[in-house]
Amino acid sequence: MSHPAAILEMHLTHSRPGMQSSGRGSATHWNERTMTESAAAAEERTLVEAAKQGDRTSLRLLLERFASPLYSAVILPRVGDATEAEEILRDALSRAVERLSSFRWNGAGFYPWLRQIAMHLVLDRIRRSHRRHRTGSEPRSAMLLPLHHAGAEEMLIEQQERAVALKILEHALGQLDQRYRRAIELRLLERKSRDACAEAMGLTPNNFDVIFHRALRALRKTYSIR
Amino acid sequence: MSDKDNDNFWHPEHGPPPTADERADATALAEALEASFHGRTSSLDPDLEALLDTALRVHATAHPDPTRDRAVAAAAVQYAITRASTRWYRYRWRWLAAVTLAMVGLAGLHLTVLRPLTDPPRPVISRPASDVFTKPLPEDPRSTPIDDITDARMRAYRDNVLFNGVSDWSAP
Repeated sequence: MSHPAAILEMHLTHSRPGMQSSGRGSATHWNERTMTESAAAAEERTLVEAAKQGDRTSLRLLLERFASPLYSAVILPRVGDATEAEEILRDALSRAVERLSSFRWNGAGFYPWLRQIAMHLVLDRIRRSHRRHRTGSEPRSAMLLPLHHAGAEEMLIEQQERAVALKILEHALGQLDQRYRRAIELRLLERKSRDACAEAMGLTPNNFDVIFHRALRALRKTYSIR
Repeated sequence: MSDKDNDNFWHPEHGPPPTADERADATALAEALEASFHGRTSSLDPDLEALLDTALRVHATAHPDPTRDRAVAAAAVQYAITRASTRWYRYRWRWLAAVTLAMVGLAGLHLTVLRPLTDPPRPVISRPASDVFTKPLPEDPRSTPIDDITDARMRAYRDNVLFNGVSDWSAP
């Protein structure tokens, strides 16, 4: 189950609960779900308006709802380094608070706006890093598709974001040489020790390190930031 | 002897044999990755640091750590809220200082430049006639008839007032 495709399938199945139901109850279920969604969207909108009026409690509730999926499923999978990801999250939330008065409500809700701010910061950071290191290719611009409806649960947002991140990873791994792909899967997806990876690939640990190093260098060229 | 036993055995399938520098980089990267799994940071050159970030991206994507992520998110929310409050206070003091300065400036302007233009007209100060007429006016014979007429009218007026009494000052 640790294979990216398996993880991806698991996430996609869980993120589409409506698709699992069928038969006589499905229409009722759909109606109930739609009503719940609109109530949640209304609640989110109320929080946004109150926060814009200066209500700190509403602001805190709003940020707390989206901060965790933003960090774990958007920023960290695109930055890698936990400390830098944390800084980006802090900056994104602070910037959102500063610019809250400019936010205009639309059907997608607050999260896509917040995500856009975070993605701009991620791309800025990666561009700076590329300029500083003069290596690798420039990141592609962010894909900012609406992933969910306004008022969506934190869990749903995280599942959808994670599904996107896994799809990007799967696509990047798919372009690698089979040996490189295997090295990355063993070490990073299956989380095997260096010695166990070497054993599985029939190499010495030092030679596995070389293969892994080359694999990461190849992956870096295909692993886009979207 | 096989790949598993000897570092110097390098199968052609794996690509060109590694140089000593590449081996050193690969080892440094492997050690840095292992350290980061245990929450430690390592000092790497920028190129290897970028590769380490790539590895950590893969790891974070496949293996989220919800407990740690929630703690990080909570701290970031607290930071943003606190920063917003601090900013508000800072701007509030700046705003108050600006208003005070503007008021002081206006007051200064009023006292120095605008006051002469906006002052009310000065009250007329009455002066005794003796200051103006320091010596008696010369008598002019041409005014005698008029003086006589005026004296006669004043006498008539006084007689009427004394005879009728003062009942209505506004009456002619």
